[in-house]
Amino acid sequence: MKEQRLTSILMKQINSICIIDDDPITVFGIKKILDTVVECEQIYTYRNGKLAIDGIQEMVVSQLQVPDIIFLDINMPIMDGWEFLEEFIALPIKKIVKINIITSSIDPFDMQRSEVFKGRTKHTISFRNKPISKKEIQEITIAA
Amino acid sequence: MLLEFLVNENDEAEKQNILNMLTHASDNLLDTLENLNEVVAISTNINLEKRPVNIYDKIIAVQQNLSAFLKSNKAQIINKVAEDISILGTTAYMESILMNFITNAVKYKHPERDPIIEIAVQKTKGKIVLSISDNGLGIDLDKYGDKLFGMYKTFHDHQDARGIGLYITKNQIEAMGGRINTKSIVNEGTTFNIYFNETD
Repeated sequence: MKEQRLTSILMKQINSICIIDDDPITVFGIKKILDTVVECEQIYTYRNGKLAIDGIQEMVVSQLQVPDIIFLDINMPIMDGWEFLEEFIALPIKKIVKINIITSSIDPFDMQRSEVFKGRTKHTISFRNKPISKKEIQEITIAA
Repeated sequence: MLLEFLVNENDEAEKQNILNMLTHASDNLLDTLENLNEVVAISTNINLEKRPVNIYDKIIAVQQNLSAFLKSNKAQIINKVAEDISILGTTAYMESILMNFITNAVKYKHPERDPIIEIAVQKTKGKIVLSISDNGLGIDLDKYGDKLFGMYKTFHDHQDARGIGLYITKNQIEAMGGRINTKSIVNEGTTFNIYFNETD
């Protein structure tokens, strides 16, 4: 009991987090690390940008809390990470969402593209390469 | 990442789960290596020896190879190609190209109908145009057209899609001096037109 209270003081509390990636291993990994660094009410996972934007739109419409943190992959079928971003930044969301692009792409063009998005939205956007480490996830969640 | 989890995991069931993922990842990696190897082999083989390849015979051969797959998917191939038409190319590439288009047409079939694949040939100005049409899902070319033959691009939500098939196919067509164009209507089907050089 005492130990539990201690961890809940030390662990950052976040309402909800969203993981958008078609690779089940990355989703598993991010979830697993999140378990150890953060207390989170709800983790949403989506296999592609389309499913994610539909889910988040639904949250906005029904006035539910949208996620505080988003982990976003770039190369996905049906709707990729860029198309998702394009639609996401157009949504009427009041709070600032921390969007973290997590990709295996080392193409400098992709990084530049994320810079362009930064200038177009109040949400924060970061760009990181896979595999993502515990330290990086800790940094992301602490800043939220 | 996974190895680190495995080392620190105490729960046996979770360990097994991680091991399964590792096995899957390493199988995929091996596939990727083989695919890349194939791509390199095609693009370095510029002095490819081209011989006449009979299209009709190749369709029959591929159809026989795929007979179990076609049967289990209730797929039908309509071979409208005249028996005497040959192109200048290589047998192995021709078979691989036909195989890939046919399996794609079946894999991305429309959920409400059995796949029908029609293969025909037209001759125009020293070119032979091989058309492969299906009645499958179709693809939005305005949206994806520039990525269709790209490497590691997938468009439908199929778990086993690797995004390499059409990339290799395009390389093989180009290695034989051909080119390809695509027409598609979402929910109706796709037609690939492949332009080959006629045999002298």
